[in-house]
Amino acid sequence: MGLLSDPEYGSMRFIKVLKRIHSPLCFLFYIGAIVWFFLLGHREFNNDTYFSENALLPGLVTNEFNGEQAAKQFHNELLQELEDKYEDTDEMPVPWLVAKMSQIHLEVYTHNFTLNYPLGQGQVFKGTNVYGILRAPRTSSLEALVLTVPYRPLSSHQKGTTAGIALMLAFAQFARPKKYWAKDIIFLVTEHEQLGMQAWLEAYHGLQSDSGTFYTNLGSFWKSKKKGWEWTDHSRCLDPGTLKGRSGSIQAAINLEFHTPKIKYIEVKVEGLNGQLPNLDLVNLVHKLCVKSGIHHSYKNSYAWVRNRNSMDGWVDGVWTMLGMMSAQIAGVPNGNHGLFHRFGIEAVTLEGRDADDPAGAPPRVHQLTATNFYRLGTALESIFRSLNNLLERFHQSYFFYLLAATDRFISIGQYMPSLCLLCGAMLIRALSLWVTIQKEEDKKEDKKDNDGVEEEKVNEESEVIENREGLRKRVKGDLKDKKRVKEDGDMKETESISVVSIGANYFLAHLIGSGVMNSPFVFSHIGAKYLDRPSEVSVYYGLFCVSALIVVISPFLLKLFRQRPANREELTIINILLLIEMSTLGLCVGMHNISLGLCVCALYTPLALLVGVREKRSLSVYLKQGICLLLHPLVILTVCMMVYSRILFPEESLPSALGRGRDAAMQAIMFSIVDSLIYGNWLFNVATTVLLPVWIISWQLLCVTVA
Amino acid sequence: MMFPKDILQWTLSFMSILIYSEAIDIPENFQKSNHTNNWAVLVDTSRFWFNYRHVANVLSIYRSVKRLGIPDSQIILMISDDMACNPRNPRPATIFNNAHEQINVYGDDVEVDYRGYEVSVENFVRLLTGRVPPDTPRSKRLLTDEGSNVLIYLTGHGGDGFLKFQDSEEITSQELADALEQMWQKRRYNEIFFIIDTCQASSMYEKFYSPNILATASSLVGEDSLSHHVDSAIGVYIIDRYTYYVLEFLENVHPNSKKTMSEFLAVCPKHACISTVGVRRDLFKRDPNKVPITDFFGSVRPVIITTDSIDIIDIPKRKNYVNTTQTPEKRGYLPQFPVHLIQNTV
Repeated sequence: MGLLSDPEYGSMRFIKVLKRIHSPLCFLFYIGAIVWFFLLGHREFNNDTYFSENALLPGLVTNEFNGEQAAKQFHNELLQELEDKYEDTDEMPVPWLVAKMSQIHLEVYTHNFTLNYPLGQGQVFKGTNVYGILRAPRTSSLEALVLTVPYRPLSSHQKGTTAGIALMLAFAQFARPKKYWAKDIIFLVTEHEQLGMQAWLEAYHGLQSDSGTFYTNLGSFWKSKKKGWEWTDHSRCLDPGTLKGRSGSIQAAINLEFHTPKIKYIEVKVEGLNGQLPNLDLVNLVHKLCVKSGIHHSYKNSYAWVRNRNSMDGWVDGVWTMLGMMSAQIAGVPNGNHGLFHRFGIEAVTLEGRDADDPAGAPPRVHQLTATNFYRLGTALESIFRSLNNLLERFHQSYFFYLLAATDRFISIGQYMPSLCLLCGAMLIRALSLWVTIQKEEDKKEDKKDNDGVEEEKVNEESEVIENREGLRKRVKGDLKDKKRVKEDGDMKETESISVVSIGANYFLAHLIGSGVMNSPFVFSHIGAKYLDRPSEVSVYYGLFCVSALIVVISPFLLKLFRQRPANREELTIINILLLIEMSTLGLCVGMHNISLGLCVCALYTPLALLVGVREKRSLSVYLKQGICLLLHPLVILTVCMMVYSRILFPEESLPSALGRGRDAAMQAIMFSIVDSLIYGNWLFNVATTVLLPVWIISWQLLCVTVA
Repeated sequence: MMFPKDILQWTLSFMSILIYSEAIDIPENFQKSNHTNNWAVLVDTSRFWFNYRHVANVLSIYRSVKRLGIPDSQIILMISDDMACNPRNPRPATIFNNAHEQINVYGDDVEVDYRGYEVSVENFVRLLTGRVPPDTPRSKRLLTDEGSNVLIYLTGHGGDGFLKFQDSEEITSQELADALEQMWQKRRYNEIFFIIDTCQASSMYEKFYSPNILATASSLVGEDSLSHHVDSAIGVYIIDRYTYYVLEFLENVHPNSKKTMSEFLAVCPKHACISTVGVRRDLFKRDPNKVPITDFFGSVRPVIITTDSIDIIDIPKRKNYVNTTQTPEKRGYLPQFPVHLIQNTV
């Protein structure tokens, strides 16, 4: 049925206004987003942290920790043991750890895991974790807390964790006879950093590949159909093995990285896999209890012992802290073992001990700080665990999505999302204005084609006014006529203007290329290892480079496939609209999960998406845009970033060697992102290849094609 | 109006003088008191370890009323959570009222009548109004009559016009007022003393409209009731301010002490409670200055112990009739459908 009111009435003015102001509006949105984001660092625009969870009761108990001597003794014994027997091996002192935990009367278990390296010649790595469970004396083992320390051999280039292990053992010894534990405590020492942690978590949650699942227990009746996809099967890489002893569902975890008891301050690390964060309550808890135990603490550029008098300084520090957090989140790589817990719905943070001469840099006035000792660290740990012990449910009250501007200031998702939405909004406005332009052009053509149609409509309207029944009948007739006309028009349009099939095919092809690139590293690494005898990072990097170059050359021709004639203006505009919509959707979706990555992607690609348009002839500006587009290729961005970064890190090097270092770093980064995506489930590489690359290909196509 | 009552009292005392060789006066308190029995309904509506203080609150009152003579059979104790046996409690099987751990309010024999999830709004209202299912045991019934003085004590988390029960439901002030009115109409009380210790507590008694209720609350509308202090050995806020001072006061009350209700109502001045204690007197006919505290908190009966033998002048003869003549009536079945009532039209 036709509408009585004219839907065009009133919106015409809106369309005119939109057409006129859309480009300055997009620019304003972009600037607004950036300004909004930087304002968030100011005290007026962010909030004080607070506890949402009543049950935590932080710091209400008197500390009873008395394991200082025990910790010192454990520390000395461990160092002695390592120097005596593990000087030139990377193995973990499993017998020593098992013996110590048994002496404390914990339930001690070891856990073996195997990694089949997915790329290259198929190396196999093995590792062992040791863990002891303290059973809650007066309740069933339904819930658990985890205290974990990664083991690092003496030869490791990272800071050791011996003091962390000693502190953990001393705390276990102190906690064992206490009768107030309402949750089990699992004391865990993992090998091979995050690999051991991931294996232990998978085994704990029953994700081992060879365990008897429902289907495998069916025996010969069930045949796995996954044969063809074995090389993408993530479970083949890491075999987590099985755990001999379990406890209940894990509520929270604390990871310790202390190389010596005499640290100056504690850095609280929160960023996890794929930029996931622990609940803000846990982060607050740790900061607050550090204060209570008299330990200096920091987060990125925010140092609790430095107080800014000047609000400008506070703002600058807040922005740097936010940027520091975002740079850690972008790659989606956890910066500590805590980051792997988040995926399993377990809140976890890492406490890293830092000295004045830490590689992370010396904060202001660090030399004036008094160093901590085992007693203070122990009391802090005790209060944290007693507070966690009070929990009645999982952490759920406070924020899961936030940015920290200081140790005690935060920005919630509601405050930072507008910034991202403005960026995506700019793209959507551009898409809308393009759509309106197409409609207008079509209308004009239609108007010229059938003037008699308009007259008919006028007659219809008049008859409606005259009499209801007759009007209804006539209107039905009119509708039929309208439909016929629309159909004819559609036929004409299909032959003349828009071919949905070819647009769709091009679109589909671009994404197919993306998913091909996602799976290509296996091929490159295989070829590189077998025929060229190159390490896999080199072969993968150059393989991807060649593929990118190939795409740059051939992608403009993809538009000419599946069609007889060159694409016209309407088709290209529709492709442009789809590109804008996909880009903004990508930005919002990624930003919902990982705001840092989402903002970064949007900030880089919004200008590109706004610059891309349909051009009649090649001018200088088009070549300029093509240059920008090439610079924004994901691989180019990565390489350039790494080169700049290495230049900043090592300013004394000559330019060529810095560039070479940057290239090597880019190779490593790509390799890590691929391996992370296979072993841990990091989706950065997958998003970059399956969504970002196709979007880039389409923009490149649009920039390379001109319409007649 | 007072004439027959006076006559009665006069004759009673006169007779007692007549009967006993040594005349013992019934204490004046009991002569004047207009109630015959005492009941207490003590409710803790909140669960979870961090609400330890509410259990400590309610057990403090329980301890006092029990010490002052209300037997367990006449105390209905509703407790939502078992703090004494919570695995987080470093002092198992105890609940203390202060950080020095002087008084273990959990005591040796606490009789909890409604516990855990039984503490619900429905059960509470049914208990007050007596509309309990027929198979409810005596210990879960409020078997009061028109001569009962009832002490109602509520503690938990509240807001303006409601009191939260556990984490799932709440009772509104109107519902509570209606329940009390129903009690009055069903002659289930003589007088009620209503105490409530929550945030914005006074909002709960503002809707009351039934007679003979004296009500007090730990805070006015818009105020929070605060906890008294932390026991850092147990790691919780151990008791609320109002109840802490109430217990301190009640510890010095004995069954024979002369303290009055007005002293009780002034037990927690603003500087101690931080919140303002609210009192509602308009429904209560007597002057709180003259009402002994034992009218609500104690159950003091006129018991006189005598070593002398008492001559009972005339022994009432018990009718000792044997039921021999009565034979059970024969009963038959009626037709299932009352066909005989229908006029046969054929």
